[in-house]
Amino acid sequence: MSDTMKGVTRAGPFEWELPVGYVPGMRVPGRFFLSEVLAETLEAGALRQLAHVATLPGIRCCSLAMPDIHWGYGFPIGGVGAFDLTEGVISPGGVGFDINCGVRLVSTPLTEADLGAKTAVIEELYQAVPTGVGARSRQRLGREDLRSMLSDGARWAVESGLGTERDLVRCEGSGRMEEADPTQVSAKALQRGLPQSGTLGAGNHFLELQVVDTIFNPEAAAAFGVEAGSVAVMIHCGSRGLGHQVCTDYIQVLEAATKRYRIDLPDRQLACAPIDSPEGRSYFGAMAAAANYAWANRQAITHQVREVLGRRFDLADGEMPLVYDVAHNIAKIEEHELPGGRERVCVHRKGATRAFGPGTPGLPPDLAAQGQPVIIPGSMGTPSFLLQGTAEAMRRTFGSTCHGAGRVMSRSGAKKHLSGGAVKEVLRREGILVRAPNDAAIAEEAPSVYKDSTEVVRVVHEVGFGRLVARLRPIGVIKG
Amino acid sequence: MSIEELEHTADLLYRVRAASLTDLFVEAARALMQTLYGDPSGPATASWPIELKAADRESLLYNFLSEVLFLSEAENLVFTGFDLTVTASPPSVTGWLRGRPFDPARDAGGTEVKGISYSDLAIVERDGEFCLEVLFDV
Repeated sequence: MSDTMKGVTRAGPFEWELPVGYVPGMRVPGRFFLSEVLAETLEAGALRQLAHVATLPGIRCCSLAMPDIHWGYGFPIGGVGAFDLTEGVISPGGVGFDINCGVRLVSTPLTEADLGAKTAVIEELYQAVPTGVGARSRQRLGREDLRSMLSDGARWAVESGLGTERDLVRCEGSGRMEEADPTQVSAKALQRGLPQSGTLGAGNHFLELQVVDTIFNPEAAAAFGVEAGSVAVMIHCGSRGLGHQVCTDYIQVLEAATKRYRIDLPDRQLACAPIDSPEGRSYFGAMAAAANYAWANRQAITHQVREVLGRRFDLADGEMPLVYDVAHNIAKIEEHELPGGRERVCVHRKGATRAFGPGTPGLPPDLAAQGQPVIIPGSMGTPSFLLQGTAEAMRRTFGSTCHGAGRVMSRSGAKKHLSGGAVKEVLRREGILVRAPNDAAIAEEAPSVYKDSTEVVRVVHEVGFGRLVARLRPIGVIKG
Repeated sequence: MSIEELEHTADLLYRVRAASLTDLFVEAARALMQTLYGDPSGPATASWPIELKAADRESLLYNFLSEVLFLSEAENLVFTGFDLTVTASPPSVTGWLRGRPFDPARDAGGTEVKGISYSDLAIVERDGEFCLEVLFDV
């Protein structure tokens, strides 16, 4: 066992425990899920962060991390923490700067052959969806539109002609958090949000053309709406500068609150306040508003994609239905089964995806028997996966699972060891075309800087926090 | 003065060294601009005043870099020069940010910074040199 795993106890074939005492002040153990292969790349910093979360007041059960755990800030990436609504806290460090960063999958009736050489359609999508640093929205929005985005989320977009009613049914929580309070969002955040609606962003955000190449569960795939051999579009982005500013603002607010409520923290990025305090309610309302902006943003991008594909291949919007849309940086009030019975808790998911099992209240009626669709993006050269939520996830992880492959190499290491041009060429030979604002963006997000998405998803499947439904192979990638 | 990129799996971690607190803040702001825009050079055509106070030096740096990030994105400016005065007691920064409008053809070589993290943010003074480590979420 590596030095990183010193002090860690094995609790099952893929299950590991950080005992109370791993760092001072832990109230509950830490628990994470990895194969031995994945454990080899685990960083000590990620375990320290997992332990730090366990020190927060009101945490229930344990501090959890999914198989894509890696070193972040505040919570580890892949971290999940549920907090008592009376004794517990809410922390921007458990959500991240990119509030409701998430991913959605749109299916199409097209095959890879229908796309032809792919270069033209990828270029047209790249031109249609503003991408990269400094990209500005082509939408002409006013302050009233922005307020509606913050209040109504994806519904605002649909009512503005950017989608269909069915799209809303296929979003987590119908693409809206009702707790949103736009009055708690600062003028600075509004200023950043206004020109960025419908933009993809940069970094690890992407728009990807994929082919459904394997169906593991035909019944679930049919219910979700994916067919073998068909082309799908995956969109990964979040709440843009508006959400980033909400996080920045509230870290300052909650820093002061941490002192006011005499909460001892091992990491200032975990600044927090009791959920039911003025500061906690204020952050939750602003965070929910930013989450709604993100859902509206992904819906607006979906519309841009449908316009391009509809024009080129003579498709109606209804022929490009949304499979599902999931958030993976968020805090939500949910009801879960705990040792004392069912209880409402505040679940933080920082780089973790909701994975509600069959029969969970709130799922669309046509998906209730299968559970929630869970979308796990790979990297540019590795497959993405569609899974279904499970009863086991409800029982063990507050209905949560992983959110992606998880990085293994730093961005500086990637730039040092990899050339964007070479990565692009290798991918081209594998049939994957990449379009990005610059080659550095490609090097930083090269497939080899990520864990093997197949191994991450295998562990998720084995531990039962998601069951495999379909695999999607990338064929064209637009990187932000 | 130096800016060194350290290993961090998910984000960008920098170690910045300078002879004074003021220079330390200037270099940290330069690291932010380089991350965002690649090579933020060129003559300044716009100036923006800045005046911030905080409870301690680390909070001041967090507030300062967050404000530079906000102004750059909201006002569409690439900052190329920083005329600052930073004091430790009471912690404050005053001065001017100097820069030019964002040019997509020239400035798209960097990556987006989502925020400045407080994790392990520390300013250390040793042997007449100031040093800090700061993480940018990208």
